[in-house]
Amino acid sequence: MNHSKIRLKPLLMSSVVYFAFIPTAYSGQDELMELSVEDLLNVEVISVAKKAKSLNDSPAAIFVITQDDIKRIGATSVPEALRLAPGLDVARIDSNKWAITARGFNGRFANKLLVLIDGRNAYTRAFSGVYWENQDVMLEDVERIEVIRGPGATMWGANAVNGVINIITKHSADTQGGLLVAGGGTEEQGFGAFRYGGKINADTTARAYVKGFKRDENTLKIGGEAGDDWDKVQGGFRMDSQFTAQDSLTVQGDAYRSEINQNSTFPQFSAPYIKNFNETIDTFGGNLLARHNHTFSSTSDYSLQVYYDFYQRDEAFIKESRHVIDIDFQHRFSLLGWNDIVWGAAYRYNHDNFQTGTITEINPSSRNDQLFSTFMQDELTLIDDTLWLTLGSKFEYNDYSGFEAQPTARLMWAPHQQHRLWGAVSRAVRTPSRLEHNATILQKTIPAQPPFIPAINAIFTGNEQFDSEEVISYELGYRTTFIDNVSIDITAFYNKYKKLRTGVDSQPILPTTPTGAAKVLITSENRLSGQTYGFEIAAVWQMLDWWRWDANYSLLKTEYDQQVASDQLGLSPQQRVSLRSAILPWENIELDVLFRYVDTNTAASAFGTAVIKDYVSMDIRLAWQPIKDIELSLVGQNLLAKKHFEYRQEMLATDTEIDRGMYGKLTWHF
Amino acid sequence: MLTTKKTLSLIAFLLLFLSGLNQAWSRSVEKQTVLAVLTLNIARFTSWPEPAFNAEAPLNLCVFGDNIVQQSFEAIDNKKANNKTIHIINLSRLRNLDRCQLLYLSKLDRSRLKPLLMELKTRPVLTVGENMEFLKAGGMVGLEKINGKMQLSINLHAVKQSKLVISSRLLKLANIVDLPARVH
Repeated sequence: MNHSKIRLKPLLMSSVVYFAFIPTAYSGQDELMELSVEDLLNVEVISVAKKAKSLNDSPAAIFVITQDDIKRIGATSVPEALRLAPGLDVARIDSNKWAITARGFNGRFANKLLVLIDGRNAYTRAFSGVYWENQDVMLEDVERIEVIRGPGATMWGANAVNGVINIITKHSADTQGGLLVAGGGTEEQGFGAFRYGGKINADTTARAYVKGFKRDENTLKIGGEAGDDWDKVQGGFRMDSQFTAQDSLTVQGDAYRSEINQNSTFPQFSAPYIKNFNETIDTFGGNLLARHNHTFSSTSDYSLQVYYDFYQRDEAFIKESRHVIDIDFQHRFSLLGWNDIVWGAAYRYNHDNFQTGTITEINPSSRNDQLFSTFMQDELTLIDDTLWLTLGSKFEYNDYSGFEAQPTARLMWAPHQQHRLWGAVSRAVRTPSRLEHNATILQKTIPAQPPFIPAINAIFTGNEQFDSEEVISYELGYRTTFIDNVSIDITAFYNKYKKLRTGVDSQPILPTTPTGAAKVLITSENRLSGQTYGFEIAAVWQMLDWWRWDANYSLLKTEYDQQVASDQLGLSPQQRVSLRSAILPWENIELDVLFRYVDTNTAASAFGTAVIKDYVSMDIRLAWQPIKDIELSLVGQNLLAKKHFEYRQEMLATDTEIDRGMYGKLTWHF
Repeated sequence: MLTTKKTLSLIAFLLLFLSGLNQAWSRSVEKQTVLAVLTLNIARFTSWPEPAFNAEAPLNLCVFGDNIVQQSFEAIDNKKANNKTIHIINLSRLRNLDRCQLLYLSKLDRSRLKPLLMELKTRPVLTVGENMEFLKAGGMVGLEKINGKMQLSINLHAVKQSKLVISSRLLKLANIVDLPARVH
């Protein structure tokens, strides 16, 4: 892989030099200044997808993935789009499973990253994390994805420990008319989407969509087909109404059903103590959300949001159904001309139901949980257009860890129009999951060594005393657009973690019968601590009007205070690099290339830690718009290797390597 | 390894090949640049009522938008418009708008746009935005790209309410709409 990196450099450099010498007619704005209004209105105008830092003034490490980015990288899922963000650790476990986190502690069941889709929380209490395979949207209707690294708990609540992802779809007025997407290829075997948006009356617009896909299986690390192919159908709608000059209402919903195949490795009581099998998971779910917004003035408004979310999954490991109702109120107003205050209150109700699986038992099998929370945040303008101080805190009470306070203090300084400096200190917690409190799971069977040592079952046992994990985070950031056509965003952080989860083994419990198995109970306790630190750089260089470079680099150092921690928590890659070139060589042609480098990292799992070798990967997309409303594109993904290994799941899944893939796509607007 | 090398050569070839096709670009201009220059020209064709600002003061052109928008307006900073020097103020927050004679509003949430324009309604602030939606919400001048060219739309009703006068020379080139803000 190193070879390819070295070879690439002179190649790209020579093209850079070559392009830099191509002149453009209106290279100077001076020429344009001389034009009359008539001429200006007659000149041929092109829109260039420049990279904007729209949230330039937020005192946080924010990165925005735009609709254009999603499209131009050929992303077919939310996780693929997320690969564009700096500092995010996105690893594909197999065709239908992802491990995604920010600033460390990755895993399929990564629990320190909060995900919201149009204000709806996609983070499940079941394991404190996100079932990424369940989260999908009509990607063409996404307005932007905001990726916030660092704690966001003051605004968004518990579990926004290392980051928040906000997926925001377009207003239905911006998705009028029809859209048809169809395509297929080797890994993306077939996909299609249809959306239609219309006007219901003068004040109300709406859209509805349906989409589906079938994705191919990958290759097992030990060779052979991985049996991880899957398919999904999803539909939904959104309606927006401005029913008075001051009131707007949004109602939206989605429903999906998916059949997921997977190859699992389960422990079993008798020789060979391990069982490998293929199964099909049936999973479905849906949601319905309504939001009312009332505006008093340009500096004062309130919103009231209510949603219901439901999912069910049925697999050998676990059978779960979960219903969530959430009510959220927020009020924003300005005080004395220099305070911008937001405060809010929320209530969430969870009802779940588990059935005993092959190796899992949840006791009690059904539980109703409540969460009450309130927050207040004040942005004080200390010097107009120059210095702002933000102070705030969330206070919540949940049925697992009780009362939690999550404050933050942030300072933003704009010494010059093109420079921004900010710093923040925040506290956030990761609240316990249902499984950590109530599950009994057979994790592993250590084979018997006759005649003296019986088989030993390592059994994960829930612990209701398990408390929240905590972080105190210190961040420092700098953004500049000082050099023409270049923007640079740097964030450094130091996170101090306390009360991290560890599995504590009990003394072996001997079998009661001569042929029985001994037992070791593993309980979750808050015994680990450690710190992570590092920095992230996101740079954009608009080399020419029609050629942009995006480069991201992140460094993450992890230090645990206890020896066992790296075996239990893994070690995220120390370095990640991504480099993207976006070219518009011709008005109706787009060419995008994305390189990624991921450093060696360690995944912790019940079968021992897996060292994941560093890798380089490349995606290319070429698109052509033969006529105004039709676009044809060709996408190659993971092109540099026939297959590569990105991550090992914490337990049960069989190591799978991700295959190279190609697909073609047609997009038609009408 | 061989496949990797092949792929890379292929990309290099593709890049060079496509760049040859680049000529079409040289005839067109980037939209954001045109927006800024058009805004300068609109300022030149507008007269503000007497008390809006004193004779020596500069013409404050406030820009609310992302860094790309702000950068494009740098080019017209310190340019002259009817004996006045244009002074660009990049707004971080929608505050202290009294100092602005011209307010360029790039994308803003619908729910915030309307009340803001309502508040500015009777003040001598020329509001410039990027589409028809902006005019419907009570904005004065809209600049929209239609079929590859910029189209200028002016909401006469809104202009009159604020006691601003836009020269007939500019009005002739514009698509005139007379939209009272829908709520009275």
